[in-house]
Amino acid sequence: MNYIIEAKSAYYEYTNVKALQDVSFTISPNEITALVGPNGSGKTTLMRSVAALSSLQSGNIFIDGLDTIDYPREIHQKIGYLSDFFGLYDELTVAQHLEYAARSKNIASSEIEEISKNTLELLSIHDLNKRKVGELSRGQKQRVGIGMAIVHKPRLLILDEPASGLDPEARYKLSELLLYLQNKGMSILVSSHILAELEDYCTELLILKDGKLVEHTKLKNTNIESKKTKIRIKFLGNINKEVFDFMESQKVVSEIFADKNNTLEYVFTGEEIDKINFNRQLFINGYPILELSEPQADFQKEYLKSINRI
Amino acid sequence: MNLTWWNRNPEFKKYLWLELTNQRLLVLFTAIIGIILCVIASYSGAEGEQIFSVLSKVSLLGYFFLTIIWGSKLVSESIITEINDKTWDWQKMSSLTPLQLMVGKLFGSSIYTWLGSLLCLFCYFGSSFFMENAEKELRFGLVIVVIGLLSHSLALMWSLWVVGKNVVKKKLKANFFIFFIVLFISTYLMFNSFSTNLSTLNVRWYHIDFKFLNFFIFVLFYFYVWSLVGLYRKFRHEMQFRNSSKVWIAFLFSCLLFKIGLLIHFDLISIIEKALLILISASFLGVFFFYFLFFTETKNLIQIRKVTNTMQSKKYLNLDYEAPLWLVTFGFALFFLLITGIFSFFVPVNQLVTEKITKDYSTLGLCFGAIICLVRDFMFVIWFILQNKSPKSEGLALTILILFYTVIAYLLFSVTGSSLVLAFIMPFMAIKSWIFILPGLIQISILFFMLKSFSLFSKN
Repeated sequence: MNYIIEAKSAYYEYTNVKALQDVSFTISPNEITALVGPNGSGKTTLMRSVAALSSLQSGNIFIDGLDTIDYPREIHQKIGYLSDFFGLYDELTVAQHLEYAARSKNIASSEIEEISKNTLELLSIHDLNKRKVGELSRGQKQRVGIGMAIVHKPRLLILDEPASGLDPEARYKLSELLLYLQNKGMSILVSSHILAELEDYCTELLILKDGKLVEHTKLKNTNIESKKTKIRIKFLGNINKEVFDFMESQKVVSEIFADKNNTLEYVFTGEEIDKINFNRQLFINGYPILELSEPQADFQKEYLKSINRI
Repeated sequence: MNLTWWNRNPEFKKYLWLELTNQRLLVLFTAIIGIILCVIASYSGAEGEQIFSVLSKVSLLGYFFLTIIWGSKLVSESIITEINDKTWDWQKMSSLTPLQLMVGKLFGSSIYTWLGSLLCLFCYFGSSFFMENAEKELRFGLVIVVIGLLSHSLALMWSLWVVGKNVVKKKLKANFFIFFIVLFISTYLMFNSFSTNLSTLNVRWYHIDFKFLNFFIFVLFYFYVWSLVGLYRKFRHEMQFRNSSKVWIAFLFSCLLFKIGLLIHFDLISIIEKALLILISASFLGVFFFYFLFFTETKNLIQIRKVTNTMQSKKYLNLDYEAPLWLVTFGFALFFLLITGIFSFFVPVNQLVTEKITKDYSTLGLCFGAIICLVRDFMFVIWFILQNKSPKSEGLALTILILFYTVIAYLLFSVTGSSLVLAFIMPFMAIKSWIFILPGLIQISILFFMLKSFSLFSKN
């Protein structure tokens, strides 16, 4: 399978600190991956290594099949990168920023106007075209930064702490924008401290601690080819053995887990029609079902569990 | 389609947008033209040549301030500002070529001051035509133009060096005052030298006679070209292109060729002695540039491991890209010291040295002593850096080495009253340079065992 990011035993050491130690993971295309971890856990080093801005001392990171050590320049063309400070020039206008970005990314002069116009419309900042960036709000600046990062239509967009300092409305707009870019086929790697906000749009979670990858969790299903779904059923009263036996006899059901609140969680691996038939069978069997739902991952819980091992 | 050349260099165009606003242009031209008119008005009653003389001096001062002081500051800050404002990563990831980025930073960031300087130069050259010594003034004008270009190039090189030394830091401060002090002193000395008899001297280079001023223009231009090559390589490195060390070796040989040009015309010595002189020059250059790079370039365990791993995997050709320049220069210096030592052993040299030196020193002893000294210093600094693992350890190692060569040497000499004891420190200060070899070898052996405790090979 082709991964957009494939890290194999990534290792990076500063003079007296091991920033990344044996970090391995794969990210499929079209995912929005959250990279979280405490300060000094190696998030920025990992992001810079993925962006081919820092060279690993051992191990490899492949972007769309290309090794970051051997092909950094080629990888830069496949990536859009936005740092936490957006990297803008206060004295230039929004239009000048986009023209500069487009020219610096080797976009033909004849296409620059069209591309700039489309990017401004996509980011809903076409009315700011002639304004100097220094006069814009943080949310607007961020949009200009994202515009510069996506002007060449990258395969992978890397965002370092994009939500910090944004008001709720700007955060909501950011989340909408990222989901839109995902729908357009872009893969996104985003680091943030605001876990609740990541929950809205991220499909995968990477947790780093002391330079080591402690968790890699799939949160939502975005892969069309995959049919795995996590389901939760809440029963009235205790779950009896008959329910377990029935579940275990089903080929489309795996990873069954019951908790103290009369709740059962399992992974369903069939087609939609199988799901309809399976649910119908549950009710025909007369099990006292109160609720049947797809549980949303709790970022905060996952994160704290991995970091503190609670 | 707009195909003007600055449109093809987005970095340069960015600086045109940033630097050349209508308001700033108006202020610049008004100020310069105003000053010129004031000077003319003040000397309206004076003789023609006096006005032109004052005008040329004022223009020169304006040029000095605009290009050499302000322009160098702007150029040197061009990259540091990008790093501090978090725009540098974006530029590194762009499709800009290292050449585009270099031209953009070098000439774009200083475009405002160059415009002002062009006015000053126009005024300087214009008034020079009406002066008594017009030819000399015009040549001098050319010198200051090349000095302006060179100072910008060196300022950018300095800031790239600061960037390279502080890859981990998020905010950089360039401490350009050191650069400016050096720049100011060298410019002052140069101005002073032209006003004295130096400008009337002749210089012989490869049997060609140059007037001092012409030779100076040639030297400045020669090293300006090399500084551009160096800058280009620095930008290639920043933009993650691999650099071959062949260009650095070519620079070392070009310095050698330059130096040979100054030595070769001594008719009093034989061809063999000239050959030895060339070898000694090469050794000296190697030693000088080794110490210069060794204390200015970054050294760390990761870098050393890269080299040792490349050697371990027997991919020797990759060393061309993997070996740091200080290591390449170390090899260059050792090679020429060895050749010089062997050459001097087989060739009797009598005319070159005085009787006293012949009695006290042997070229062979000096060369082998220098090799041991170089290896000892190299091992000591590497050991010290690996031992201390602090960002300041490089500076500390340099300080210790300087103290070793000065204070400790002086104390030993004062206490014992014998210069023989200096032979335990270095070959050059002691009589009979052969004496250094044994203590030198003992010091190397001790350092070798101390270095053995570090894992110089990566586990991977």
